[in-house]
Amino acid sequence: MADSEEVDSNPPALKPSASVSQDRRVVMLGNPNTGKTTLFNRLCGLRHKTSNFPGTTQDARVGTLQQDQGSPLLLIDLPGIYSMRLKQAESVLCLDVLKGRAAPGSHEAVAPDVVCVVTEATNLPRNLLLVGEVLSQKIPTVVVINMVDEARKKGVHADEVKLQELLGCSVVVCSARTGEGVEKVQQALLNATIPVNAPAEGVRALEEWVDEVCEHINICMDKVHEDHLTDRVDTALTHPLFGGLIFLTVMASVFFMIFKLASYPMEWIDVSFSLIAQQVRGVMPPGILSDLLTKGVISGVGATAVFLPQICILFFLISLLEDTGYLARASFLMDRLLRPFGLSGHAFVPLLSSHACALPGIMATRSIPDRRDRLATILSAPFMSCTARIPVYVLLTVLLFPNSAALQALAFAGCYALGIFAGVFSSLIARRTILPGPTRPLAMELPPYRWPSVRGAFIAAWDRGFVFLRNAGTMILAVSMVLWWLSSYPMVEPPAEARTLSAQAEKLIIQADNDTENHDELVLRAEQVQKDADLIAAKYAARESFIGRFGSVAQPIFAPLGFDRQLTVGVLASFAAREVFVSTMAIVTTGSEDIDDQGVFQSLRSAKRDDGITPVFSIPVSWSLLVYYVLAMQCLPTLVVTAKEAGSIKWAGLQLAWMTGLAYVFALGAYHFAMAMGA
Amino acid sequence: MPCIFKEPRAQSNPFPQTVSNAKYFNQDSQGYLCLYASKSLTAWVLPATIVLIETESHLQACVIFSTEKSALEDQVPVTQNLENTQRDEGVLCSLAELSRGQTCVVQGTDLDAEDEALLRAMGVRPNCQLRVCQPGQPCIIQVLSAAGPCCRVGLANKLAKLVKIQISV
Repeated sequence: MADSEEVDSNPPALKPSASVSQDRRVVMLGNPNTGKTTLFNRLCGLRHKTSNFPGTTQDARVGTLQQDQGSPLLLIDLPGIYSMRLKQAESVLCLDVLKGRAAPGSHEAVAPDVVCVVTEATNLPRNLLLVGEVLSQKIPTVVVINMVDEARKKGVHADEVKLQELLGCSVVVCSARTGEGVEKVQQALLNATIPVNAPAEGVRALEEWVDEVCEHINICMDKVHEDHLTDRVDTALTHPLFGGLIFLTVMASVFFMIFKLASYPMEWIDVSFSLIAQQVRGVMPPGILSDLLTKGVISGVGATAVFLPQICILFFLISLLEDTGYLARASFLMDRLLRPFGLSGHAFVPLLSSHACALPGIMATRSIPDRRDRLATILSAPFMSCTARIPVYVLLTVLLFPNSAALQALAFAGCYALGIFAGVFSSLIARRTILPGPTRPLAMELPPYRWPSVRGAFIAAWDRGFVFLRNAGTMILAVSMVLWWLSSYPMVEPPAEARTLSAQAEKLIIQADNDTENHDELVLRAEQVQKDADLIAAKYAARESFIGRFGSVAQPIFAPLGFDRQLTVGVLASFAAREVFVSTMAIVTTGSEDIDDQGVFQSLRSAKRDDGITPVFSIPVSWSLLVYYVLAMQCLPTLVVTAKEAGSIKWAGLQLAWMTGLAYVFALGAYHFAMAMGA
Repeated sequence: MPCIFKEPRAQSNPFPQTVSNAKYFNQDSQGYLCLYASKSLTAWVLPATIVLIETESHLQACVIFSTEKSALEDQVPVTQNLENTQRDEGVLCSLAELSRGQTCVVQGTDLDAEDEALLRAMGVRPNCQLRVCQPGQPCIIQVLSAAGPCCRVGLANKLAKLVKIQISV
C-alpha cells in the first residue's frame, strides 16, 4: 500500500458535489472490524452521543466534526455490515439511511450529503462488495482504506490511484489508529463527489465487478505466508478443554475487575450522594419538599449511579476483548455449550453483559441475526445475576451464614449458577414451545489478533455508561419518586407508645441540663429512648403507608413462601427495581435506610415480625427469599426494554409471568425443603 | 495409503455431506450403499463400492462411487473414521471434509438463501479460494485472494458440510 501522501483525494477528473448544504451530513459505513469506529472516534473524539432511530431498536453514534472554516460536519456512525442486501436489521437500516428513509434521534430523515465507506487495506477485495453497493446509490462517496500501517507490515500493495479512477470517487488511505492520513479523510469529506462509476445490478454482477477492479489495481503481497501462529492460537482458544480453561480464566479476571475495582468508585458515589442528601437536608427546612429531594430524587439517582462503575468497567473490558479478537473465538466456544439449550454463540456477549445489567445485555441482542435466537436470548438474559441483585445476595448470604465467609461465598456463587441454569433452561423451554425450530448455525468473521485500543475502550465505556444512565436512570428515578410517595403517604401521627417515649426523652434531656454530674449518661439514655421512639414511629408509618397497606392485602399471596407483611412490603417495593429491597427492609424493620451501618445490619438480623417473637429473616425464609430474588423479574426498566427490543409488550408480559412464576415455585420449594431439613 | 474417493458428477446429490463421519455401512434392498454415522442414523445413500485396505496400523475404508450397484456384505463396521483421510486433488466434496492446511475453490452451496447471502457478503463466494485453518467444530477457514490471505471466517460444522468445494493444490 502506498503512503497516503501519494494519493490525490480530489483529482480534477471528478465532478464536485451537487449541493453543499450548511450542515453536511456524513454517514460512515463499513464492514465490521474495519476500524470504522476508531476513525469516527479519531474524527469526533468525545463530541458525540448515541441516538436511537425512531420506531426501531437500532441506534448510531452521532458526532460533529469541527472545521477550521465553515460549519461543522454531522457524522453518523452506522453499525458494521457486510452488505445492504442482507435481511439483517442493521443492513436494512443502513440502506434506509442512504435512501433518506431513516435518521437517528431528532434529525430529519433525508439522504446523506456524503457516504464514507471505511475499508480494510488487508482485506480490500471483500470490502469492495459493500463499496460497489454504495456506489450504486449515486451519493457523493469517499472510500477510506484504513489500517494502512498493518498493510505495510504485511507487505500488501494496491494501486489506489487506479482504484480511485475505477470507482470514480475519492479514495483516501489512512490509519485511524495512528492518525496517519486522517486529515486527508477530513478534506476528502468536504470535497466528496458523486461517483461516476458503479457496478451493474445483481449479486453476480457485483462480484464480477469486484474481481475486475481487483485485477486492475494489482493487489499483491510481497511475501505470501500462511499464518500458522494464528491457526495454533485459534485451535487453542476454540478447543473444548484448553479453550474452556482459558475462557474461565478470562471471565474470572473480568468479574474480579468488575467487582473488585468497581467497589471503590461505587463507594465514593454512594458516600457522595449521602453527603449531598445531608447537605440538602441541612439547608432546606423539614417538610415534603426536603423529603422528596433527599429520599426520592437524590436516593433514586444515587441508587442508579452507584452501578455506573461496574457498567463502565464491563464495557471497557468487553471493548478490549473485542479489539483483541478474542470475543469472536469465545462465541464459538460458547456456541457448543449454548446450542443444546436453543441459544447460539451470538448470545454470549448479551448474556455476559447481563451480568452487569440486563438492559445493555438485552440491547446487545440486536447483533443476533435470527429472530427466534434473539427472542430466546432476551428471555434468558434477565436471569443472569446483575449487579442490582448483589446487595440482596450480600444481605441474605450474611444472614444465612453469619460466621462463615467461605459458606457465604459458596452461596453467592450458587446464586450465579442458579441464575445461569434458569436462563438456559428457560431458553430450552421456549425453543421447544413458543419459539420452535433449530438454532441457526453460527457463521462469524474471526478478526485478526490485534493490540486493543485503550482510547477506543474508554470511549466505548463512556458511551455505554451514558446510555445506561439515560435509559435506566430516568426510569429508576421516576419509580423511586413514586415509591417514596407510596411509602411516605398518607402521613400519620406517631403512635401513643412512640409519643410517650419521645416525651420521656425530652424529660431526660431537661434532667441532664440540671444534673451536671450525670449529664453525659442522661443524654445517652435520652438519645437511646428517642431512637426507640423513632423506630416505633417509622415502623408504624411504614405499616400505615399506601404500600404498607397494600402489603397487608397482598401478604396472603406470599405467605406460602414464608414472607410476612414486612417482607411482602419489601418485595412489592422492589418490584420496579430489586436493589431497593435492602433499603426498604431497613426502613420497614428499623426505621433507617442506612444499610452500611453495621448496627442496622445487625438489627435486620434481629428484626421481629408483627407478633414481636418470630424473626423476620429465619433460615427457611432467607433461603426462600434468596431463591426468589435470583429468579424473579423485579426490574421494571428491563420489562420496558424487553417490550421495545422484542417488538411487542406480550414478550415483556410473558417474561414477567414466567420469571415470577418460576421464582415463586422454586422459592416455595426452597422454603419447604429448608423447613423439612429442620433449618 | 490414501483413500480413493471419487464421486460421479451425474448424481442428483453428488456431495457426500456426512460421509466423513460414517462408521457403519450396508446395502439396502435396492443395492444402494447406506453409510451410517451411527447404527440408527442413515447418513447418505449412493451407489458405490467399498474397498477395505489393511495398512500396518489400521483398516482404511475406501469408497468408490459408481452408478452400478454392487454386492456388499451386510453391516461391515469401518474401524477407521474417514475424517482423517486426505482427499485427492480435484475431488469435489464438502468443506467439512477437508483437513487442516488444505486449500479449495468454492463451487456452490446447499445453504438456505439467508446463510448463503451472509457467506457471500463475507467473501465466501463461488470461485473463491479457501484454506482450511482448522477443521471440525468450528471449521475455521481463510479466504484467499490474489494478494494472499484475507479474512478468517468461523463456520459451524453444519454450515461447512453444505459448502461444496473442489480441492486445489
